[in-house]
This record gives sequence, C-alpha cells and structure tokens, in this order.
Amino acid sequence: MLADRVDSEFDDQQDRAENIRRISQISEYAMPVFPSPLDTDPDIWGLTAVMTDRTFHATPSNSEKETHFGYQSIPESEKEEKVKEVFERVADTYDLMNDAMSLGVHRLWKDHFVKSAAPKPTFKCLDVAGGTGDIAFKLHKYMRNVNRDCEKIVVCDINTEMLRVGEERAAQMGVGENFTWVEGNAEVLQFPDNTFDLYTIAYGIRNCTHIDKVLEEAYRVLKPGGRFMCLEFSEVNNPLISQVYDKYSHDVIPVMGQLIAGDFESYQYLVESIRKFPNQETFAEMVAAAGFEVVEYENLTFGVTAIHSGYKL
Amino acid sequence: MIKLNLTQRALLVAGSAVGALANPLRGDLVATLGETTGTAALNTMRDKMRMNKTGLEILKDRPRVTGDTMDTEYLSSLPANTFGHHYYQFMSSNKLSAQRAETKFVEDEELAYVMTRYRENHDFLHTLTGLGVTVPEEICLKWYEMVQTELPMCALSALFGPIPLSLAEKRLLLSEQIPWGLACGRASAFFMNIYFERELETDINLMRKRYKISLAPRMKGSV
Ligand SMILES: C[S@@+](CC[C@H](N)C(=O)[O-])C[C@H]1O[C@@H](n2cnc3c(N)ncnc32)[C@H](O)[C@@H]1O
Repeated sequence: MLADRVDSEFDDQQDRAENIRRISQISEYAMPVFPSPLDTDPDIWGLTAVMTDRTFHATPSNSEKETHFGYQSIPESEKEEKVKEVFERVADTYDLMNDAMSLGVHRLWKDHFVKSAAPKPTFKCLDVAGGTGDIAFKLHKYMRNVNRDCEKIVVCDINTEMLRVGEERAAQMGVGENFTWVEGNAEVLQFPDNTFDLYTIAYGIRNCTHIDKVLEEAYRVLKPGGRFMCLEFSEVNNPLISQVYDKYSHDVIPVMGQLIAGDFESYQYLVESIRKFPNQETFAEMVAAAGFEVVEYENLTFGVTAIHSGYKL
Repeated sequence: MIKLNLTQRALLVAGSAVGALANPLRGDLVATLGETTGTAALNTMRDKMRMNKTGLEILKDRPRVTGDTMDTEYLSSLPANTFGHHYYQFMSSNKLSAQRAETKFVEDEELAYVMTRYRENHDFLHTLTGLGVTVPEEICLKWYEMVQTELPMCALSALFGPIPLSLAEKRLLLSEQIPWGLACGRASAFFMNIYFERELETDINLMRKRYKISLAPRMKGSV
C-alpha cells in the first residue's frame, strides 16, 4: 500500500532508505522524513541546525551506516536503542497528526466506539488493524473497570513495527500482560472459526484491498452471537458542511502532513482513500452481504466518521 | 514534484514560517519555506546560469551530489592540496552526509533543479570558504549565500538565525563574519556557475583565487 509509494521517493538513496523504509511501513500517517534529534548525531543537531536546512545532512543513525557518505558506523548495541527511539517518535508523530487532522476529535470518536461496543470482561476481543493499540487500550480500560481480571485482548496488524510500538506502550503503562500482539492480514486471519465475541477494526478496513474478504474473515472468526464493529471515515451528509469538509481535507490535511510529518503525498493519499471508500449505505450492504444480521450504522460528526455494527447470529 | 493550489501554498508558507521560527531545529520546515517562497529568486538564478557557459552546462547536465555520486575512496586518495581532498576532509571530520532534501514544492522542473543544485553546493561552499558547521559559521555562510542568490529563505536564516547566539558570538558576527559574507558575496563569482565536480583535482587556493572566494575569518571554536 502506501509504503511502496513512499519508498519510491528514496529509490536512489538505498542505504538511508533501509531505515526510512521500515519507518514508512509503520503507517500511512506517520512518515517523518525529517531526522529528529533522536535519530541523528546529536552533535550535528546541536551545532548546525539553527535556521538552516543543514539537518538534512544527517541520516538516521540506525541505518547500516551512520552517514550516507559512509564514514562511520554505529555499534549494534546502540542501534537497537536508537531504533526504539525512532519508533517512539513515529508513534508520537502519528498521534500528533491524528490530533491535528481531526482537531482532537478522533479521541472522542474512538471513546464512543468502544462505549458502543461495551465489551464484557469475559469477552474475547480481537482488534484488527490495531496498529499501535489505541482501540485495544480503550477496550481493556473499559473491561477492567467492570472486572479486574478480564480476558486478554488480541491485537492484529499487518505491520509488525506498529505492533512493536503498541507493545512498548503497553509495557510502559504496566499492562503488557493483557494483550497479545499478532502479525496478520485482515483478509486471511490465522485464528480458528468461532473464536471471538467482539471484532473491532478502526480506520483499518479502508486500507485493505478486498473489503469483502475482510468481512468474510470477521464473520468466520466470530462466535455465534459475536459482534462486528467498524470505525471508519465516511460520507458527510450535510451539503454545507460537506463543502467545508472537502475543502479542509483537500487543502489543509496534506499541508499539515508536510508540516508535522514531513510528508505531503501520504496525506494526500489518505484523503483520496477516504473519498473512495464506500459510503454508509453501501458499506452497510456489504456488511450484511457477508452474513451479518441487525446491521446498523451511526454517524459521528455529520458522517465524517461512521460506526458500522452487525451480529453473527 | 507536488503541485499546490493557492490555498495549499499559502497555508504551507504560513505554516512553515511559523514553525521554522518557533522551532529552528526543524530543518525540513526551513527547506519547505525556502521552496515555497523562492520562485522569483530561482528565476534570477537560472537566468544567471543560462548566461554563463559553465552555468548553462550545469543546467544541461544536471549533476547531482549524493552519497552515490561522490566516491569517497577517490576523494580521499586525492593530494592534500586539492579541492576534492579538502571537501573529503570537511565531510568526514564533521561526519556529514552528502544527502540533501529533495525539492518538492518548486513546480517548474528546471527551477526545481536550481534549488536542488543550490542545496547541494552548500558543502562545497563550506570547503572553499573554510567555514565549519557551528551556528555562527552557518549563519556567516547564509549571509554569503543571501547576497549571491537573493533567496528570501537565506535572508530569513541570516536575520533570525543569530537570535539564540550569545552576546559575544553576536558581536563577532557583526564585526567580522557578516562583513566578510557581504563582501565576499559581492566580490566572488556566482557560485552556481562553478562546476565543482570538475574541480575536485584543482588546487584549492587556485580555485579560491579564480572564483575570488576569500577564506572566512577564523572563528572561535572552529577547527
Ligand atoms: C490508520 S491505522 C489505524 C490504527 C488503529 N486502529 C487506530 O485507530 O489508531 C491503519 C492500520 O491498518 C493496518 N493495516 C493495513 N492493511 C492491513 C491488512 N490488510 N491487515 C491488517 N492490518 C492492516 C496498518 O498497518 C495500520 O496499522
């Protein structure tokens, strides 16, 4: 998906790209092409970066060679530490971008999503395209408030680096043992049939190539009585707001992407992918076509985002 | 290359300006601001290149300075008095990479190359002027570049860059470095018209003489 697009930019910068490629796969959102104080030689930063574009000299030092010129390499031990720092930073950029783009509202959407899901502490939950664990953490918090020993939550994502950031965060919050992080494709899940009580997917299904396959797999892994819930950008239903929203998403979001994450194209792509995604009604029909019953949807913020839900009966 | 509409361009200029001033460490914002505000100056720079034999050649060949085009083994094997050897010394002692930001927001393809070339010449200028990579020295070089290129971004860096410096550094900047930058900027040949890649084996002092680039005043803390 997007990682490929980002990669092509760096075709002629193989060495440096090795590191960037890994970061770029982390998400469509966060692809900081600018080196941060963390991933460059601190000396170079401290001394030279002020109001010049000198910072571009420094290549992230967790690539094989510290500089593209190949003068130096850093020891393996330092490398791991730096890689970790880079991922933390990426996760921060990712959060910051989500906040900036949605003006902070994405947190409310996710909170509302989890509240609507209302998972019981006994539920086996699967969060697909779970990325850095946003939804999973909220699910866990909700379940734990009802009963301290709740079931482990399974987080599945196609991108291991995203999962690593999530795992790291869980550990930092001291709740590491409550999650299982699994690399996997939403279109071909590795879980047996009838395993889960709740299947969630937040801002992930849009990125999948075959939406129908994702839905089929969701149906398969859910127990009878289990619930499918999807949070995804959708179509704004108010014509006036729709105009403002279109202008905003077309003109403002890619610019923010450039300013915050150093990446214009990815966010332009993000906006395009939102426009291409089926609207509320069409997507509801697809969910029903996969076999789900009592399919319904709820618009959040005029339909900027929508929650779709269905039961396997 | 990214095509921007008016709103996007305006937002990008405003955003990168505010961002770069608020956080000068964000070199990417500085670069973005430079690109979005540089069109007029880039036009002038291109015209100057077109009117010069070597400049025209550069526009035609479009040489790039990247880690791949610069052969470190070759550079390090050059005699100590050559420009190439000095360049190698400068890059390796400061642990710099030849990689610079891609030009993204200059729509005209040739002007985009001019911007790229301008960036990629930066380390050659360090080498010729003898300026290191400390903040005062970078600012000093910005003054030189500003006079030469008239890029608004250079002016912004030249003017706002000194703010975080100490009083002593500012004093030195005002009394020696800036006057040097202005004078050398006016006196020297247009650096965009120097085919640096062909001068790697030239004696560095000969080059300085030929292009009328004087060594910058020695600075405290510089090597
Ligand atoms: C926009 S993020 C959403 C992350 C998280 N759910 C949230 O709301 O913050 C999209 C995630 O979908 C993942 N993804 C994309 N295609 C996928 C697929 N086919 N299977 C599983 N995950 C996928 C990406 O790796 C990325 O982590």
